[in-house]
Amino acid sequence: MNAVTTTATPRSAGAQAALLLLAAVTYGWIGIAAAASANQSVATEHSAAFLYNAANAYARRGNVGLAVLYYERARVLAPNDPDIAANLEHVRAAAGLPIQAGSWFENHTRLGNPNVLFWCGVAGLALLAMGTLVLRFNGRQRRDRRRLGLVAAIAGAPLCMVAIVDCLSTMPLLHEAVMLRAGPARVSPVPGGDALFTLPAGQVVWVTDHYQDYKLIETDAGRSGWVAADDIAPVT
Amino acid sequence: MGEGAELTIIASGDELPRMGPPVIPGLDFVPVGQSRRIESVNGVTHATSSVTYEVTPRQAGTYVISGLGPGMPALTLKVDAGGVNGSSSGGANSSAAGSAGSGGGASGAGNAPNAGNTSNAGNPSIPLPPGATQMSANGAAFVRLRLPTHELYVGQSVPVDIEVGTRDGVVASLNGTPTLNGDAFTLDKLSPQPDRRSEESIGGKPYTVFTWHSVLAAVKPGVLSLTMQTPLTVRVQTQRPGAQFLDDSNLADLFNDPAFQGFFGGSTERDITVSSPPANFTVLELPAEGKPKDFSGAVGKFTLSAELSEHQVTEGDPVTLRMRVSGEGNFDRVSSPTLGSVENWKTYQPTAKFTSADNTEYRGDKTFDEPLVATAPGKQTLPSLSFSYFDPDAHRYETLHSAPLTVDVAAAPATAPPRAEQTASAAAAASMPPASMPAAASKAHADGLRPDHAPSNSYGNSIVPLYFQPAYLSVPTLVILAFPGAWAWLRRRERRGQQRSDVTRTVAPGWLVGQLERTAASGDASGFFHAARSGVQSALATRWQVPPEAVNLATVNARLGAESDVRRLFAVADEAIYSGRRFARSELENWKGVVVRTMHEETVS
Repeated sequence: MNAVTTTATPRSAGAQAALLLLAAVTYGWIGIAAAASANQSVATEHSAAFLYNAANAYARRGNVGLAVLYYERARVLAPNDPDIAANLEHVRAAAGLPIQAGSWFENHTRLGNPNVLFWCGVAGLALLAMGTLVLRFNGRQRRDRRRLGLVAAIAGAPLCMVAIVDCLSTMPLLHEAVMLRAGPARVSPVPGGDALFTLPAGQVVWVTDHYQDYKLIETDAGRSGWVAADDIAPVT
Repeated sequence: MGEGAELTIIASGDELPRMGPPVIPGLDFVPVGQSRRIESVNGVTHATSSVTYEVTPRQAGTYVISGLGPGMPALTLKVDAGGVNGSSSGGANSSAAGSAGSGGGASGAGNAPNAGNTSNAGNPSIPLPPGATQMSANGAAFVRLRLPTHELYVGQSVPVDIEVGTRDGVVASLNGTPTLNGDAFTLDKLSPQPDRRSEESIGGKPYTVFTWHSVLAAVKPGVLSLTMQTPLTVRVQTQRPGAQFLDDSNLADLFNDPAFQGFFGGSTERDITVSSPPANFTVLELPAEGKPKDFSGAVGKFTLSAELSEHQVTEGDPVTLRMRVSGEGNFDRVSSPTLGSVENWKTYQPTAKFTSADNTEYRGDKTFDEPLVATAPGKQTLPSLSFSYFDPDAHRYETLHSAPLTVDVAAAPATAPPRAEQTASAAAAASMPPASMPAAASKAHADGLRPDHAPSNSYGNSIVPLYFQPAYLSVPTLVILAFPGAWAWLRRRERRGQQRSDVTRTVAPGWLVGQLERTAASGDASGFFHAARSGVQSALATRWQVPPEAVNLATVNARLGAESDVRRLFAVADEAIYSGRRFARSELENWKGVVVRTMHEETVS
């Protein structure tokens, strides 16, 4: 029997269908989420500018606790904004609060708005996945598609890495809180617990545990104690 | 009658104002001493000068001694048949010294045998319990507490006066503020300098009393005690040679006088710590029964009021709801009476400000300014606010309610609605004092803060980064899950495609089927059977591992039998090629089926 050359038509159609499905799912989700975000944002208004302006208002009123809280919140969304950093430093210095050092990782890996980087990471992940599929299932027959897949994978991988690094550096913010008013850190989570030390308003602490109306906090200096939940507010 | 009193006029500063003895009919004033003292309290030096008169009444009655000097209060002296009682008028403390160099004061002390340990010192509203004054070993100083009550609740704040008395001429300096002993209580931070200075005679010896006002709170229940202590430097007498020979008591007093000792270098300074006698307290736990849900730990006596900055607004305009909690107690635990979610209103987080009525922050009022934005026109009502606290005198929880507030909200003009960012900024600005609002932007640099930012278009529905919101986290999760799914599906499709092409290749090559169909359609029976026989020959040759020429009628007859389709195909093919027999289209289609079936069987077998 003579050798018969088979065409790539069935495999190409399958790969294209898969890629289209993947793209549709990904961008469908992105569209849905973005639309939901846009709709909800009108009612809640969490933007770096709004938080920063609110922090300035609190600072001018002399409310150190809320000012620091809103500056920290603004810094979550705009970690590299020099105005936020300057005003936060000014309020801390005026209130006699200790300098918040932060680790090298936290200081150098916050690249921008985490929500923007999140979507960059999702797009990068989709590009990486699609590029890999094209390279594996289409690239052998079609040189142009091979090139397309390679470009997509190369573009997607660093986006994924950036988002992963930003996610890791943002993770400590989940436990960060600010003292709204000065209060004692107690040895036990009861009103009569012995006071270990007093935390000033605006002090940034890390919440490590909670019990009823109290939260176990740890300071930058490594001291820990139970603080009334009403006295602190989480940054995120 | 028959007794004397002592009047001491004290002036802060380097010199005593030039003045003669007061002239009061019925009283004789005889100067008996004059002194000048320099004190060091926590590093700050105070100079005081004083002059002392012996006051002798000539007849019983009530005398008002005034005109002692600028800013000095009048003193009232009662003389009855039993003795002399001195007091200041108008409730002012007679020994309160004014500003350095200009102010002054006067104190009067009766010389009656039971004139008491104290006179004209301390806060008269807080009584001094018996035994509160306990001298240090050498009588140089004392520390004592004035407390309104000795029964507290956990978390309750009570005002406390901490008094440090120092013997004039014996105590060289105070070296720090009084500190609390024990961890069962907390004491608000004391100022480096005392809030008040006064003079007091104890046992006939003059003492200067420094008073700090503060607030004490218990942090755990039980029967507890506390003491206060303060460091100071005293002058200690050195042994004088020949002192044992001074039998005359007057001479002994003279040589033992601190001024004499200090002048002649007969004393040395020593740092000591003086403690107060223990003050006992019964600290009670706050009752669990009847505890309101919104109780935040406030203990004391409070009142609640609420007011709006505007009663007529336009839809979308901000208005400030001011809630005021006034009274006395632990204001640090007074939290905002929350308005919560209100229909037709958009609420923002309130800001709090405490205004103290005294320097201990025990009395005052705390205001919470909550920006609101009306979202619907009409007469809108804000519900009443509630605030709960524990009343230590009534021993029960109390809940206060404010009156509901109404606002007339006019419909917004038919223009584009204000953007949420603008509304939020306006609401934040509305919570600022009116005077600071127009100046907020211009004084941005003056107050050390960088200016506000322009509203941005990037919003989020939460401050929590999207990485940690489950709803958004599902998006990358879906991509990650879709990748292996798509990989498996494509792999399966690929394998299925390979199998299908293998079958086509072995069972019915495309070219053969195409040629059979073309020749059948054109009625070329010779060409049809030639192609059919060649295809079958190739297939059988592959199977039998022989050359295709070896697959002929005889071989097929021998291997497959005389009745096989292949043998009949070969026979009909010879007939069609060599005889020129014509075949109908349907017959050729049947023979095509035989060829395909035969080749399939060959592949399967």
